[in-house]
Amino acid sequence: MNDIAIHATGLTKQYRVGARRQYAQRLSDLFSRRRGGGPDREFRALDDVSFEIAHGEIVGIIGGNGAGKSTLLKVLSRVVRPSAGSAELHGRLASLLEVGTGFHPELTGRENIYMSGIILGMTRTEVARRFDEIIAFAGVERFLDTPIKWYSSGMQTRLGFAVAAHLEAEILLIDEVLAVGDAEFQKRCLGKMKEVAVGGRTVLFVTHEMNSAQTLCNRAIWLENGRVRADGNDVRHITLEYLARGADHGCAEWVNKSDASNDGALVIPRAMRLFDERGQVVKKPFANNVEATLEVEIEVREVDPALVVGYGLYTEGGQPLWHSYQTDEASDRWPVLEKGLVRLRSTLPARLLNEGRYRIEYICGLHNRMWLAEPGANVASIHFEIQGGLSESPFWMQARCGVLAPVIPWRRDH
Amino acid sequence: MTAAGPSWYVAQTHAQANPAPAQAPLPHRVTRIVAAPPWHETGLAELARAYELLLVFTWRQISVQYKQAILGVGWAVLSPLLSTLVFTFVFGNLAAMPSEGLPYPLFVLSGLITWQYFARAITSGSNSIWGNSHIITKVYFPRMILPLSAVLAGLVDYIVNLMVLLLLMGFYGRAPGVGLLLLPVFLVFATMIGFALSLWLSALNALYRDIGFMIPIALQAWMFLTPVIYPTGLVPGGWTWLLHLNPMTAVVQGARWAVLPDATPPDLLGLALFAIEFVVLFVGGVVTFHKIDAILADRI
Repeated sequence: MNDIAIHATGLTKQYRVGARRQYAQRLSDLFSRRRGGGPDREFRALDDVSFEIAHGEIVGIIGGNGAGKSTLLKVLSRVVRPSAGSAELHGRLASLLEVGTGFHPELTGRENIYMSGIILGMTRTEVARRFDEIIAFAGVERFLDTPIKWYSSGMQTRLGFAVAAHLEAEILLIDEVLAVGDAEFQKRCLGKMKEVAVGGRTVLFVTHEMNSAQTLCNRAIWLENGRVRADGNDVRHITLEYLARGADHGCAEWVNKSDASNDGALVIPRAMRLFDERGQVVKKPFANNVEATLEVEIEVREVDPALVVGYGLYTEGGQPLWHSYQTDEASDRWPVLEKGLVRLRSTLPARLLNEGRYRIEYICGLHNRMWLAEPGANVASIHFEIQGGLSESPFWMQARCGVLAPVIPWRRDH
Repeated sequence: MTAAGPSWYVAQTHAQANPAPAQAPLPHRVTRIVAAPPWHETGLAELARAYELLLVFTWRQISVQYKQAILGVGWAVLSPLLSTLVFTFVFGNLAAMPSEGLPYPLFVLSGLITWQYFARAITSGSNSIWGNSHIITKVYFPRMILPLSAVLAGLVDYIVNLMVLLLLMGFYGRAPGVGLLLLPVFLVFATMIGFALSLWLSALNALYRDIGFMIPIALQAWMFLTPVIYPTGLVPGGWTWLLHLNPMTAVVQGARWAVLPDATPPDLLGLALFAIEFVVLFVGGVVTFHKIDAILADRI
């Protein structure tokens, strides 16, 4: 028996960019000899990617935005064709590029379970056999005969994941499905994925959550600019290296270099900087008892009352500490966001974080409507390190365990 | 990205036949992913094996169709009746159109239901790729299932329409003869030509939305070139070649003749031309569809 599940050789996917002509132009292209628009720029979403994955391996695919992670999954799941190279997959394949593939809002929960299950590759009998498990996992027993358009989005997600989790396939390709759903449900999903792994199935999944990569995977593939930057079984090492990549060029400063002038975004992040007490951009590790100031510079293209700008703070291992937004206080204290360039400042409290390296990630969205820069999407990040200054106490000279290190007063009760 | 070995649907039937152990499942099949598949892998063989998926897509189309309409399937009864009423008034009464010795409403309705089945097939078939782009970009399956299921979904409406026709025939005191047994044949013809055209149109429509705008206009013109509301005998001799070239002439005439034995049967020349035209349209459709399918997910 061959124990290779996936064998990829030189997978390459090339896209033309800047060549998206409008209809009218395309039509005139048809009639004119000279093709307008100038030479097309070519962009390689995947560039000569090769690897072998054995049966039973749980592989986390990590990498920044546009590194080619999702393209790789799309190629392997046969949704798009590679431009060059080939791959061989041994075993039945199921791909989960979204939660609830094939759901139709007008159909009932029951109908959608069959619908989605069969579209994702199960047979009717298989769905029927696992039907009870699926509804129990999703917790939607009472609404089985209700059209899912009446479901809450959380319920729809749970139902979608429940179907996906019960697919009977040897190879599972999963694209960031864990980024959705409530915390309790995420935990169950992680549990289910571990179960899957124990069952000897091969799993490839794209993730931004280094924690889940570390707990679930026994191998990590780090993609950068469409190429394999690192590939190995030391998942912890690879994820840490990945997270530290920004910190190499000492960066508590991020400046948007891309010229995004023709995309339709409402808000474009321009820069993000962390300043020390003297108003200088942080260059080296600073002490815990120093207050730092975060500056987020954005370009507001269109003012929206639901606009929320902020950041997420993460440990080096990727564990989230908190999210903070400009709208966290009472609404009369919110900074006014006008059209144009806006600089927002917020302090990073002193005497709170323990020694260690941290990452601040830019987040932006329209409250309750949509993300413009989703947590985990890593649109923009800066890094900093805290060293020393923990306390004046002679008994507290070294860092203790824990993420936080607040100095909390003790008094004697008389 | 076409499978060289048996498709994953085959793997499923394997799994059913001998329920594989949960631990260490044996790989039953190999999927090969390559940049350009060999020419003979058109997806037709895969389509034939994916019947369960075909049923699901067809059923989805049917059940969604009337979900939000108050009258539901009632529209399948009303819409041909209303058209018949209009045509009877305009052409039967005002223009006194001959109708091969049949009551004009029967003549029109018997042609109209076949035509409408075909027109629905083209309309929803041509939209089937574009309308399902959210699924196409997320999961692989033989894409030809989409136009085929869109065409087949129209059968439900057709059967309802046929019941209406039979009732109307009862009202006029006419009974179908043994020719009725041939009706399925003409229905299969309509399905074949509808599918062949949908292959072209669904693929092209996904890339160029202009197709979608052209279809209603083209269908309307085409209907007047088909003996739906007038008998073939009305067409002057110099123009009958146009009727013969139209593959739908034989189909509409044949279906009408199967139900109403007094109507003119399709002639052999028309049927032969139908066969040739179908083969050309179908082969061309498969090739076009296959070519566009390769770049589809990148472009929609």
